Amino acid sequence: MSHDDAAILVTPLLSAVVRTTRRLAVALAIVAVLGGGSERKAAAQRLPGPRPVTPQAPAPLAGVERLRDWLAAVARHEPGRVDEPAIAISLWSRFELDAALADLRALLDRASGVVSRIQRSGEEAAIKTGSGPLTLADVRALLGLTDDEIRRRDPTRIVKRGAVLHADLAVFTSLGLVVDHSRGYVTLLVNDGRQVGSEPRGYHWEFGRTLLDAVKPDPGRDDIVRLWYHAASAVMTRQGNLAGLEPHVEHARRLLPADAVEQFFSGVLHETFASPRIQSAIRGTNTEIGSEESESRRAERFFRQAVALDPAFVEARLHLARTIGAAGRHEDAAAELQAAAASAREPVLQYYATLSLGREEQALGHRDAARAAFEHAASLYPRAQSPYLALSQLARRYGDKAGARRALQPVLDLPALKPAREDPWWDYHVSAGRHADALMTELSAAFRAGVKQ
Amino acid sequence: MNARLEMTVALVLWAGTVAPPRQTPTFSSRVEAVRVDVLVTQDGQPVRGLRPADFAIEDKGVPQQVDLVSSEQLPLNVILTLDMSSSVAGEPLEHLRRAGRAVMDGLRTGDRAALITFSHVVAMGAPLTADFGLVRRALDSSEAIGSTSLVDASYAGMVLGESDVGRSLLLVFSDGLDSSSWLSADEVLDIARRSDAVVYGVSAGQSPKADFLAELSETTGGKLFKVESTKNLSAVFLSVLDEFRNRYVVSYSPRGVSPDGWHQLTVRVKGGRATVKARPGYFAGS
Repeated sequence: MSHDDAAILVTPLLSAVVRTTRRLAVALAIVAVLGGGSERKAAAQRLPGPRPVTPQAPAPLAGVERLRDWLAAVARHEPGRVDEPAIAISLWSRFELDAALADLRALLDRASGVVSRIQRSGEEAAIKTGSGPLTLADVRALLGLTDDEIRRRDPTRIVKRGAVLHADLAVFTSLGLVVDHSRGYVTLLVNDGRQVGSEPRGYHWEFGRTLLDAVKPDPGRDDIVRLWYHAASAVMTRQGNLAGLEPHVEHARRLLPADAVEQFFSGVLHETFASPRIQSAIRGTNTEIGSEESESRRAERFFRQAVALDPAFVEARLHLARTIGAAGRHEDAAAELQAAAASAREPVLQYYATLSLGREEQALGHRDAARAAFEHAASLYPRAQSPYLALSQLARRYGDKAGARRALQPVLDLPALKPAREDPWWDYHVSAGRHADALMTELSAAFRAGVKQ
Repeated sequence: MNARLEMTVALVLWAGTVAPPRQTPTFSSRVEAVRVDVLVTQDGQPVRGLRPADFAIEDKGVPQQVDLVSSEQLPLNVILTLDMSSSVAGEPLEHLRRAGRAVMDGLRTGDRAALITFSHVVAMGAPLTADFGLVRRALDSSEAIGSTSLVDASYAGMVLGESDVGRSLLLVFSDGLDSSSWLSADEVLDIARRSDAVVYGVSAGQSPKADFLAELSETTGGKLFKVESTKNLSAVFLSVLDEFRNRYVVSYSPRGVSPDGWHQLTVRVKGGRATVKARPGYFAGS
């Protein structure tokens, strides 16, 4: 238990001290952000580590101050902005966030009974809390909900906005824009195929999911919930946050079982687990990640499901084909990749499809077709080294030493550093998250415009 | 120069290959000579002064007539292929630069050197050149950043080593595992079986798996050096150079064997207790 956790359990006097301390910390954090003093974290992948010990929760509604602070931050936070409410909540522990949500549920339960009684008999009873009795008017003002919403125990408007705040916090903390105090599970950091350390994983994505589970009538049929999940999956994929992505897509598949996008992200997760960079890093460690073969099989299953749900999902077809090809089914893989290359609109997807198609054609002994595919990939990204390496290897494989040297020359001629070099292959395992910013912006815009709430 | 001309002849390995399935043949299948780079030691020390008659070679189990044995007088093409990924940053980078410069100091007139650096980016620091100052300057200006394309870079080094006449040593250093190559280890090992380049790998640190470098070194008749720290990297690099200079190039024209496919090689020194290290075989055809 951290000092912060311990302080929250003690008396109201001490709680006031803690809040004052927090205000000071918020001020310091804002200075750090404005002054650019925060350091961006290294682009490491994050894998699941050991589970933490969870402290015992206090009785619900021991007080409403914590809930009041959280609700105020949710209401005042401008989506997408590193503002004071976001920084204030970033200082909260996982334990405090859970307690605030438990308080919200308890308050809604008690207030719902009061509303029902008023409707039945016209009598209003006080709602007991550790901070003293509240009237229904107090609760309305605190929660910003209508009597009907209170009666139905429907916090949808609150939890949706809350989930956006916590999605923002997850992004801000991962970028080092705010300090993360919501520490939960331990995460192993993997860089360049090796474990390079561990860090406590933030709780904001998980808390956002818990909030959205409370959406009524059915979170699985809510467009904002779906958008939130897609944005979160994209962000975690782009950041290589595999430790966060794994529980996220598991939850997403339960909530949105017919959603092709979440099936796709699940496939990407396991495809990445199967990759050499992860397999080499987990060697000798205690992890639930499977072997290359078993993770590839899982990936294929999810990609197939995504394609079955949405046959026009080109990117899912591309990843499925690569998984099939890696398993040695080259004819099937080549057919899928040809289809993907023909229908892909984004150059990066065309690149992946044609480059991968070249490998499958080569495996099938179709030298000319392989060369044509590699040359097409090179034409899409002339500063990428992979197509030239592939062309060179193809020539050398057929005994053409001079051709191998010629094909390699563009790679050797390019300067070593950016911006002379650009190869989407290097980002293949995170490329599925390339629309993360757009999705987060769309999510923020929905709330800024005051619609879809 | 005479040695160079001699190598031009000796370099004609399998001068082509058969056509791949369902494709138009580009090269004829024609075997002119096979050369095998061989290290002979006794009690850990190189054995010098051996002649063709001292060697016994079997190709696919068929004894062959050794035509030519060349030794340390041959000039070298040394291709330094060095890991410059982020894990090398700091002191190891300086050790690596120092080791590269030590190799340059150990080269002789007629030798040539090239530098390939790799992170996720494979880059040519210096082309194959007799101007060792160029390689030194490239070493000094190299930076350590990014992930590791060990397999891609090893392939590029092999191709560069094959591009010129001479005896090529590919010295590959890495402190990590491949994390961003396009080419697969199997693809590059397949090419290594078709190439006459000799790879010496140097794997540093606590790397749990140096399988690719180990297999590449073994396949080409080279050796893998594992070092805990980069502190003494210069000594390791120099010992590689010294060992490579003391190897023999044994040449023969295959007789009584079918040209295509995998050629299992057995190389022995007649009599004595010498230990022979050579590639286990080579692949010809597609």
